[in-house]
Amino acid sequence: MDIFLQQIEKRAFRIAQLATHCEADALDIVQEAMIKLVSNYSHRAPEEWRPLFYKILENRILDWHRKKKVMNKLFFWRKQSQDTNENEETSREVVDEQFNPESQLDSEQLGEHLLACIEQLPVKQQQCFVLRSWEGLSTKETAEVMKINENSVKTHYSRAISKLKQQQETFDIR
Amino acid sequence: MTHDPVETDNQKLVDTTSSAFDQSVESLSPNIQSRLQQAREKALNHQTRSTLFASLLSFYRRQSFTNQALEAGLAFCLLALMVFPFISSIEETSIEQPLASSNSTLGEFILLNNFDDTELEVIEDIEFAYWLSLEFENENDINRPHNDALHDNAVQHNG
Repeated sequence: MDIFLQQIEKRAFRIAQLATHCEADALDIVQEAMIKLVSNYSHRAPEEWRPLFYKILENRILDWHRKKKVMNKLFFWRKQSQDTNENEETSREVVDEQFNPESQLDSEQLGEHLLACIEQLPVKQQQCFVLRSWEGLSTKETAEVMKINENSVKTHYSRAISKLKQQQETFDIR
Repeated sequence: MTHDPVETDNQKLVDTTSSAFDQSVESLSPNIQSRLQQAREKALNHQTRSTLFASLLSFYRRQSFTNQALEAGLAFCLLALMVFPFISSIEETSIEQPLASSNSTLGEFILLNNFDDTELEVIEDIEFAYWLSLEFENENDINRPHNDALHDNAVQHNG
């Protein structure tokens, strides 16, 4: 179990971070997922741990989004102020990029840009893309993890791909 | 063998994002890595704490044991249902008989011991009244044959 968690913890953290945009929350989510896996499913066969872990992780991420939605509704004035701060930050980043002489079109930058785009995807599309593309889960496994049917997985995945393609094209044009 | 250009593009996109993701995973700060390690250790400690409970749980989960326990439990319940009325009837008879019906003298003795002086006086008065009434009845019985004989003689004389 220790080796398995060691192998998966960093990737899980990055997935949670992409979904939550928050380091502390991502760490909490990963820790909760690990505790739940260890306490409830350690007696299962090791080959079952991976899909189970992702299932727990995705559930935790969805819970986090639900909580966030409720909090945003309750404290709507905070959200507006946060948004303005974020807008300022992004505009600053854009200005930096415009004046950055090293902003060349290479694959590394494209990758980073696409990662930023994945962060902005809707949760379901993001989960589908991450599980199918990065974690190598099949359509069936992804459907089981996300508790949706296989057709929905295909739809979410294709939408995510098409959005990322659009972003890639805009990046290429720049 | 031909490749679908759309699929090839998709695969390129996936590869690009995947490699970017792998790089970001590898370049995590030492602070994050140590915190992840702490989280892992915490989870594993949680496991050792719950090992005893889990072993007990797995013991109870064993099919054969569960069946045996169920059978034993059912048998015990049936036995208790059959034996309980019998035991309760034995207890009732063994407690009540010597006081009430089988040994009346002892019962009376215990009963009289429980009364105070005024209650005893009342009982004595009742007993005396009862004795007196019996005496009167006896007296009447002695006198009645004599009266009946006088009545018979008078009838014969008049006749």
